[in-house]
Amino acid sequence: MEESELLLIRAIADRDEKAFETLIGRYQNPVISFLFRYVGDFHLAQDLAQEVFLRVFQAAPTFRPRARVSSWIFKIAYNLAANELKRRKRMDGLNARMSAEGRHFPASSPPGDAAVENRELEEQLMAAVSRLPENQRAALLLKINEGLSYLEISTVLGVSVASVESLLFRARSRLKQLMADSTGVIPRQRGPGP
Amino acid sequence: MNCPQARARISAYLDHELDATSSREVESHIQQCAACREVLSDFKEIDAAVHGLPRIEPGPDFPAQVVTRVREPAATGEIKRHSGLSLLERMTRIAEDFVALVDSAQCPSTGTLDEFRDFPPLSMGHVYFKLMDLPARRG
Repeated sequence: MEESELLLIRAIADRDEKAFETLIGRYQNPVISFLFRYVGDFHLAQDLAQEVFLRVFQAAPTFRPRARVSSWIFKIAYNLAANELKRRKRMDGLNARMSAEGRHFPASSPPGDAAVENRELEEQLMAAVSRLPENQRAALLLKINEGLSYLEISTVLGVSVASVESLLFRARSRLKQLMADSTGVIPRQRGPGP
Repeated sequence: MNCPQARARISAYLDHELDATSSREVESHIQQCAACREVLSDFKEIDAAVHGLPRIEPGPDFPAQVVTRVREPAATGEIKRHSGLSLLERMTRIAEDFVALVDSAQCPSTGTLDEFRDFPPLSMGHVYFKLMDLPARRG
């Protein structure tokens, strides 16, 4: 996989659009899911994902295979998203948006009782995740959802491996506390029901 | 290994990031300590819940949209332009941020850059007072 991805990056550096589409197809879902969970806004996540891949295209000629391709792409995604959050915080508008209209999921199933309850739990969990400090949130999402190693996460966040371990411990402890405060329990996903 | 030492390593233990010796030490402590066992159990539940969040997928034409954007000269310039902004571009971006600020306050309508078309460059004072005037005109 890694070797073939290096070949893809080299082809993209030569402006091979087919290779670029292949790389997008491979990474679009993990990148957009990470961005959505990190920024808490589906439309912003989509816009940022486009910027991520544009930057991949731009930077492909300068890519050095010291890092894994996946770490490199997530580093671009993390930097873009973190900068956008900082920019929005400066404008003091993000918190209102995240708690109001922004925190919505694309509808995927009819809203039965179990589905409604799951949706509420998901929204509570997303709200709790959004309250984690940004570097803890990124470390947690990259570990749990994307399965990156501590070394890869350290590359993405630009911190030491020991810091990643500490970030993850604090993120899990804080998230447990936030969920206990909001619901009294840690959410467990329910099945779709009969 | 005592509780503080075990808890300091418990995330790395859960993530299989410890070497064999450290992993055995944490495991041995957890088998004897109900409190640390509970922390580990809570962490596992947190992980399962976060992992269970729905994954988001872009539309089927997402790759084509991105490829179309890289074909646009303006799009590629967009990525690079931060270091090479002209004064007028920088002024425009500041004005855009001001408009976004008004928008983010969820006002019923927003201004556009057309509002500033008649202002000469470097007239941020004018831009500022123009923005201050917007809520009154909306009201």
